[in-house]
Amino acid sequence: MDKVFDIFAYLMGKAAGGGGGGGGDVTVESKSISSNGTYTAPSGKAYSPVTVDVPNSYAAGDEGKVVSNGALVAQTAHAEVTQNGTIDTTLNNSVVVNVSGGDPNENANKLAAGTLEAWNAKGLTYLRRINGIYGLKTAVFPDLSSIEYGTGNNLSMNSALEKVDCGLSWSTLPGNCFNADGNLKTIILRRTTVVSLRAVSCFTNTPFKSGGSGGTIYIPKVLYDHLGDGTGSDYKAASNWSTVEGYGTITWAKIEGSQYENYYADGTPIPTT
Amino acid sequence: MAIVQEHIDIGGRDFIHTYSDAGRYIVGGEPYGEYEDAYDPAEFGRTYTEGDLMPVDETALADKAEAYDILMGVNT
Repeated sequence: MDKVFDIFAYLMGKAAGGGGGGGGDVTVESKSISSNGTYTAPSGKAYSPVTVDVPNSYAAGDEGKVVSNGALVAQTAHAEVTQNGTIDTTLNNSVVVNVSGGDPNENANKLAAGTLEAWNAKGLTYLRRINGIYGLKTAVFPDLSSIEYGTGNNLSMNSALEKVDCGLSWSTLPGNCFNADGNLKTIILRRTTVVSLRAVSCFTNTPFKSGGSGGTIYIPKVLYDHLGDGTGSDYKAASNWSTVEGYGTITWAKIEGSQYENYYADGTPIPTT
Repeated sequence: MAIVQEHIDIGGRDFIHTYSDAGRYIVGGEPYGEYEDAYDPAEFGRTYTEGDLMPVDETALADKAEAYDILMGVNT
């Protein structure tokens, strides 16, 4: 009879979670997992329930960590870049560039070597002399209202220059302004009153000169519609313009309805406000 | 020191070329303002007055000065 009870006690002990090797309790406890890894319950323990919550977004302290493609990638703002060079910005969400110094004239000559093809001079209100930027193809001056006059060249001696876009405030083309811009074929004059042509020399050695190959000048519809209407106050009859008109090298076109109605010559949209 | 006007034929049309013989701007024309010199269709009868002295091309002056020095043996 004692052996029967001993057997019964043994079986009860097994049911209570005793070890397979001869008895003992097993403790069950919950487990919370918050990072990748392999988790094995120690001897005598079991996990239940198991809650998994591995973060998949950036958290403070994750800077510089790259887990794997598509997983946790943390970025930091980069320090200011102050010199030329190759910089790995994989882990950067912003870069501040402030490379300056050197000889301004040398830098300008580097620009003149053909690296600058299009220039939108937004915010530039006064122009003195920039002749010699040889690689510039398109020049846009949305805010220019004042140009140094006289015999000084302004946008001249640039055989690469093809398009010049003058904003509403540009009221005067000075002498020799485009002198020697041999490929200048498109001029956009957005001012709604006739732009003064201070001297015919503005177009010397350009396609608009006498005997030249010609080019197109875009003007507002309000002026285009009055071309040659006999009032003397349109482009065809204005001082000096009337002479260039006589060369037969100008094709007049309306800005409205053209590619330049809503975009500057460099392709940037014209602000609507 | 005076305004000079001369007729000139351009493409079969009579123009008047106006300028100052004193290196000054001329004031008038269409649109009204300062001009270095002006060509106008003769039929419009536009008139001008003398204005301010025109700025001198600084680069041209510097080139001329250097050329003079070279000729005179200053920069040898």
